[in-house]
Amino acid sequence: MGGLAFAFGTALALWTALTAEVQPFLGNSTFPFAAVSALPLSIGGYVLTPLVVFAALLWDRLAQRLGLRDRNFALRPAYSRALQWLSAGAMLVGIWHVLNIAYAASGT
Amino acid sequence: MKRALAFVTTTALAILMSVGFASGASAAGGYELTSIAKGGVEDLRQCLASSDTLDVFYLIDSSGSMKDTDSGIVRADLLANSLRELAGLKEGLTLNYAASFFSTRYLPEIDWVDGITAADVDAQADALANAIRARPPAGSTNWLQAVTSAQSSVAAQHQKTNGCQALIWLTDGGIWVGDNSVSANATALNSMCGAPLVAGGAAPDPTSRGTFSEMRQAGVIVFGVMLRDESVRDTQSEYVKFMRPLVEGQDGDMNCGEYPDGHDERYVSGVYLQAANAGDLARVFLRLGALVAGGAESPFGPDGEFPVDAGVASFSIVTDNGSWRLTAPDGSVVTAANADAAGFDVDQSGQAVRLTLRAVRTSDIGTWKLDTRTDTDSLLYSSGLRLALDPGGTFVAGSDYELTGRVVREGADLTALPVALDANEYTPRVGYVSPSGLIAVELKEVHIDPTGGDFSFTLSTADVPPGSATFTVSLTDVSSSAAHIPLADVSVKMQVEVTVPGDYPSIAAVELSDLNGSDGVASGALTIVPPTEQPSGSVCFPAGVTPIVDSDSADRYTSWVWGGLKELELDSGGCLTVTSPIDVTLTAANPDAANSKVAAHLDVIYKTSSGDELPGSVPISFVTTRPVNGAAFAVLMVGLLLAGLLLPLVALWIFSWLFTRITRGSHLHRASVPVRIDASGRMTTEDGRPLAKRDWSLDDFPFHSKQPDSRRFSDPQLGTFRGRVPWNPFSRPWYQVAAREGMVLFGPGGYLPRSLSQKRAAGRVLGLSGDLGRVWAVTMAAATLSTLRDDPVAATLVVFLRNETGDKSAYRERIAKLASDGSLERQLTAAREAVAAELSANSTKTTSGAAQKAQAGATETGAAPRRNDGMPDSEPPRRQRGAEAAEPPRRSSSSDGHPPRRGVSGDGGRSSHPDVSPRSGGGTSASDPNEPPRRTPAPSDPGEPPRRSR
Repeated sequence: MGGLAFAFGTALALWTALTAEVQPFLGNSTFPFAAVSALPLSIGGYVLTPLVVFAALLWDRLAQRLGLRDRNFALRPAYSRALQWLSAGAMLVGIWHVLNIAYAASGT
Repeated sequence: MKRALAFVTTTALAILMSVGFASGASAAGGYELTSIAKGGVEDLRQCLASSDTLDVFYLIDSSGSMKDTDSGIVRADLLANSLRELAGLKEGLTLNYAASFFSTRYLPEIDWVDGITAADVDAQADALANAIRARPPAGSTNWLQAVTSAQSSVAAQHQKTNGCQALIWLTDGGIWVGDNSVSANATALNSMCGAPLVAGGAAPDPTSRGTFSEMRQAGVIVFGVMLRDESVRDTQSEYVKFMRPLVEGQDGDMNCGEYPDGHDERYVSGVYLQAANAGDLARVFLRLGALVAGGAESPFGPDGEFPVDAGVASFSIVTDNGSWRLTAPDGSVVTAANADAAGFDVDQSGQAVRLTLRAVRTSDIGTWKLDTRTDTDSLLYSSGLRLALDPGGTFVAGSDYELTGRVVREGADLTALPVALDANEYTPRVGYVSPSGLIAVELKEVHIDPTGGDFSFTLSTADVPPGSATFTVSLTDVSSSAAHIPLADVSVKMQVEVTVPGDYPSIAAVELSDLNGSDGVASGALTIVPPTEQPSGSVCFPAGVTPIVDSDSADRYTSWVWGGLKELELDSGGCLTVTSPIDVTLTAANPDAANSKVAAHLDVIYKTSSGDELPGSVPISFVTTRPVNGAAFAVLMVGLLLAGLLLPLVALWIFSWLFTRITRGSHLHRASVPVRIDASGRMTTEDGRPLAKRDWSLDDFPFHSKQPDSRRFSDPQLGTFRGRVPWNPFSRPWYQVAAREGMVLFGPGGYLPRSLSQKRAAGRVLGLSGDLGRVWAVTMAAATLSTLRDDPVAATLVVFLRNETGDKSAYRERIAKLASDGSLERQLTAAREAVAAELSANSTKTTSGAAQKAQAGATETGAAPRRNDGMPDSEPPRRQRGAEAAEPPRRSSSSDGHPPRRGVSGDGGRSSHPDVSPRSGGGTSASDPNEPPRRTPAPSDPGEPPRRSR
């Protein structure tokens, strides 16, 4: 689930990046924001990365922790490591989505 | 005689043209331009005739396939040379250029360099070539991102320069977007096209006109160059065919853009070029340079012959043959060796060569012959004609107007020369650009001075509606008079204001104020002026009072809200009688804020008091902006970051904190065994027997009371157990036991963070498994470490065991396993060194009474008993293994008279040793039910491990 969420979130980030154009920002500054019409994609990406990825990480930790009490449960440390890296990556991808959501929503 | 010779020559040339060259103006070899592409070249020439600024954007494919299709990186020189040629297209031209690469993504390389002239273009051309050579080919061909990014850059540049604009897009393969799925590629193509060009993808946004159509509407002439080498495998070949309809708007039944059925005169055309290989690409660019410079292609005659007459200003030949050879009309031979002296410029790109006769002289008139002609060679003639219009002033709709100017001829050196217009045949035409295309304007009178080139055209502007209009003045069907050599049309555009006659009311163009944001309103005064020559007139609005948006780069064609005009009191016919000036504040608003330029118009019909009608159009233009509320942006950023990033991180930490507990659970046994340990980490019982040689039973491992999992609890001998969570939520939690004051701990170390490595080395902290059932450790007085050399010292082994099945062998196996642990020696050595270092650093403290007391205590509890067990002083403990027979008999659990005991706090707190009486309570055990039974520690050292009383 975490991997899928990260993949979809990243795909949405790339998709929105395709619509990016350099836009006037604050003062005389400019920044390449995604098109305002791509706001739903940015929101979707924001939900997927990092929220869902973090949720998957929490879920994994909970499951592996509770699994300690089950003698038939096989620990999967690789899952935790992978989700940990995905979460870190999701934070970076999430920042792009946050930027675009904030830009789209703060336009007057 | 001369006249007769001239007649013969002219007649011969005419026959030659009609026989040998009348097959049409097809390109000799190489790729043939479509009529739309020729229109695109003409559009650029036309724009440059009216503007001295040219913005050129190079969008260059740097995908991995370029290393196969152009392994020699010929494109570097080609594009650099094209930059040089563009800079020299016109005297006084200011060239601005930028360059970007694209592959899987868009890769900006050279930002806009402004103000280049022919004199200083070489440095920039070299920079462009070097950048292309330095860019390693890699990745795919993401057309969508490349083209849309280039469009944005060109649009931003146009706002700055307002000049002519060209986009040179070079690629060698079909589109590859995202995962290269049919859906992704088709959707991207449809989006760029502005129409459903490819099945299998999403339809374009209905409010969008497509990327390329928008560029054509914005006046950007796109030169799309497809390097199509069939010998190179291309997985995207199926998409190659879509490049032409994208660039030119049409290819067979594939149409793109808002006006797919044909070229709209209001907009420029695109030019699609195709090259079969790198060599062909060189020819394409050299031909393109000649075409843009005013050339028109003609075929060669038999054996490479071609005529030149007085109507030709210059000619160019593009050939692959580096050993080219021309024979002039006078029989002289021109080769690369004497080309410059013969008046030729020679440009070479790759293997292709372009020869350009700078200016035709009298001696050049006659029949030339390219002796080395091949099928791929191209011949281009240039008339050198250029139109220069006098300032237009104001047209009055419906009345005649005299348009004046002159025709001049420029040679290849761009020097305007006196022109004898009778050397050329042409048809003057004037038209105005209407929404439905180019509308011809009737020329009532045409006067052209054949010697000086001055002309005057009397236009009938009856059909030209009032308002801002673009006129196109052209010389069409241009050819030379003598040999009828077809030459390129010449045209120039002119923006004029067409006013209504005095007996009509009028409305001037409206420039609204900027529209800022979604809540803003753009407004401007629209004044309806009554007739100046009549007391009244009327204005009708045949399409209503809602303006029609012609262009909006933000594609907001349906969401505009107009105001002001609805307040006009129109009659039932939608007309308004005007007897005095009527001021209306026209407003425009849009809920979708965007950074854009908007052009709109309002269709009107002006009527005189007698009922005469004059259709007109009121242009409306304004700028829209999308301001960003900085505070809102900051709040949203922080809020979203908190909600999306920080809160999950905090939740992750709290989660870790909640679940980081040491598992105690049920079926837990705890043994506390006095042992002796030597420097090598070998443990024996107090009487010197190896631990594994003893029988271990439930008597040694009394039950530990069941306790809930906990983050923190104390063990009376080992110290404080803790589950710890680092501040970094991604770091792993750890479990530790911290030794009691004055004690040290050793055991099978679990994970500890690096920050605790010193304490771990000193034996003050021991990393653990999170399951208490797996924990064991040896604890001893820290002071005894200094005496730990060859002689064993006293210590206490505390072992936990979870024995859910009650297996009797589990106790022995547990002890045997820990007795074989080989890590103790290293830990002891490290701890001894750490303690020694501390003692050295605090020498005064080490000699203090406290240390001596600890030493005395250690001696009391450890060293002294060893001497009492009957073992020789000099005998190292390890030798005792083999001397098991010499071991004193020990009590077994069944022979000591004490039954096996279960539990500690839960069953009355019995000792873990069969020869130790249960405590009567109080002390530590009273406060800690987990504490196992032990003997009363020596009063002098509360940290001392329990031992037998002697």
